[in-house]
Formats: sequence, structure tokens, C-alpha cells
Amino acid sequence: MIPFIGRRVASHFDQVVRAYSGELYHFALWLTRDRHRAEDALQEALTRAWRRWADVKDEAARKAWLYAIVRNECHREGRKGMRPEIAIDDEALAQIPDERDFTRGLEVRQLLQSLPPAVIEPLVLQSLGGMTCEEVAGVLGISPGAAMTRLSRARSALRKLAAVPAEPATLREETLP
Amino acid sequence: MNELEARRLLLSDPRHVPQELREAIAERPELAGLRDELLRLDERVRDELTRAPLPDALADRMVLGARYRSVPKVRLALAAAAAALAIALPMTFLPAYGDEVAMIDHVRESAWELRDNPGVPRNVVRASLAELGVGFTDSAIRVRHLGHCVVAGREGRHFTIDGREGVISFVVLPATDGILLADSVRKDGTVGVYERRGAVLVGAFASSTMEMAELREMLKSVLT
Repeated sequence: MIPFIGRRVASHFDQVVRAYSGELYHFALWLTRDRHRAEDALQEALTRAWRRWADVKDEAARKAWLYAIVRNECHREGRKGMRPEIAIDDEALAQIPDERDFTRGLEVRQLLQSLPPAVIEPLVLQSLGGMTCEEVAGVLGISPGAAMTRLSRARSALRKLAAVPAEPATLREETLP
Repeated sequence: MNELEARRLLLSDPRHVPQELREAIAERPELAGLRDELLRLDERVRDELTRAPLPDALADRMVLGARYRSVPKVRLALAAAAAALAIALPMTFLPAYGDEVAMIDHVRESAWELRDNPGVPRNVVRASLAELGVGFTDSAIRVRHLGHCVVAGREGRHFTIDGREGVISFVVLPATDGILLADSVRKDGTVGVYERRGAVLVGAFASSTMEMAELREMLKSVLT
């Protein structure tokens, strides 16, 4: 079943997927807002990644490369017109043991939802994947300067919204560079 | 680095701090406070994003799924076709071939019981064969034996006549859906020829010293 790729590469693929599948799934979940579609998109993305595994020569770029593939796959899914209207997968959330401060989580969720995706996505990439501005820029296909600007605006907006929760977000996507 | 520039850098990435910014933070406590606040904010965002539980065995399924799906579809199709053939061949061909072997085996094994049979009236033979939709010749042939024999799990007819080179046996068996794989079989001194006739399989059997063509002619002429 592994016709062209050696065992060493297969083992490396296993290690990387085991290390990143969790955060990649959460990224896909944030993009698709549906756990089944998130899982499907992740599976398709990793299948594509496996086929082109040897294409990545710089191992430091591996993680950002995976994020980019997952992102593309989620957007491909979105273009099929199957994007649900629900804002979050409540069924999955209902199963979570309430070990954290749920009120605080809800507040952050509302903040995240109140900002345009184009603003919040760089922050999601940085928070989930621990990426630098350059890596975020690579995943999104924008310049590092533009990534820095979006990250700055996202954090500024979140700080303001966190300070005054009832205040609506005023950022508009079309004003972004 | 002035404060505005430092704040902008911190807002864009509070985690990866270059040396110059690190020095600025060390000099200005308000920048250190801002960095702590941003790191806490990032942590809250991360908590929220990872709040949903991971599906069971996610990594294992992803690894297996990626490898399985990566097998070229042509190879998958070939494998599926091979598997289908492996199942279909025994079901389609082997039962038919099995009938042929079962018939010749039955003839060989029952040879001893035919020796002392005094003979069967022609109308009895005709009526018995008619039940399976097979006709019997009008020629004056003496039938020494007629049996309702079970061959390959199905009840058929087995009768014998005297030929120039010894006993000739005929077997009529309800056919399966399988096609006829062999129209003749030789086995341990016995030869058999076969024909599929609608819903039945008919065969004539004799000593292997008999010509196959002659035996086939007899099959056509005796069973009409």
C-alpha cells in the first residue's frame, strides 16, 4: 500500500500527523464550524499532503504547509455550498466536561465571532499553531507586513471588546490591506 | 525602538520577540504589562479554539485514511476486479465443472449395480425422462437400468444401454446456472461427453476405448 514512498518517509508522516492532527482539526473546525466536515476536510488535506510529502524540503516549513493545505481544503468544501448556517458545533460543545470557566469561554467565543474572519484568522493561526508573522503570511498568501497589520488589529479589537463586551465590533473586512 | 513601534510589534506577535524588542520591554514596564496581557489573551483564544473534544483515534484514522486513499484508483479498481473474479469464478464455473465430474464419478461408482438388471420398458424410460424435459429415441434400444439418482445434490436420471464396446451410460441432471466448462471429460478409463440442453445437463459415458465422436453421436441420437 506504500508503493513509492519509503518506510522512513511513512514513519515521518505518522509522527507529524500524530503531533499536529489535533491542532489541525481545531483549525478545520474553526473554519467549517462543523465537526464532521472538519474531519472530512482534514482527512482530504492529509491525503493530499501524503501524496506530496517529499515536495517539502525545509522541515521548518512543514507545519505551515500543512495548515495551508487544510485551509485550502476547508475553503474547497465551503465552495461546494455545504457551509452550515450554525455558528458553532453545539452538539460537540455539549459533551465537554465543564472543567473550565465556561462563562469566560463563551465570552471569548462571542469576541471571536464578532470580528471578520479575515481579521481573526491570522490570530487563530498564531494562537493555535504558534506561528510567526512570516509563517502566517505564508499560509494566508499575503505579505508579512499585511499579516502583521491584521494581527495587530485583531488583538487591538479583542482587547477593546474584552474590556467592553457589549460593544459591537466596528472593524470591516474591506478596510484591510 | 520607540514605544509605538514596540507596541505594534507586540500586538502582531507577543510570543516571538526579537532582541531589540526584548530590550525595549526590559526598559519600559508598560510594554511588559502589554505583552503579559496579550499572551493571556492569546491563551484564552487558544482555550476557546481547542474547547471541542478531539474525535476518537483521530491521528490513527487520519494516517490510515491518507495512505488508503493515496492508492491510485486504477490499482484499487484492479484489486476490486480481482477480488470479484476470485468470488465469481468458483460460483460460476466450478459448479458446472463440478457437475461434469460428479456425473462421471457417479457412472463409474455405480457400474457394479447395472450388471444384473433385467431391463426397463421403453415407456417407463420415456416417462421418466419426460419429467426433466428430455425425449428418448424411438430406436429399438434395450435399456438395462434406470435409476433416479442423486448427483451433485440434485435428483437426475441415470440409465444404461448395451453398446458395441460395453455398457454406455446416460445421465440427465437438472442444471445449475453455471455455464458448461467442459464438453468432455476423461477419468480413470471412462470418457464422458456433455451437452447443455436448456435447463438440464445431459451426458453419455463409456469406456475410454470408445471414440469420443461416436459417443457424442449416441448422446444426440438417444436423448432427443
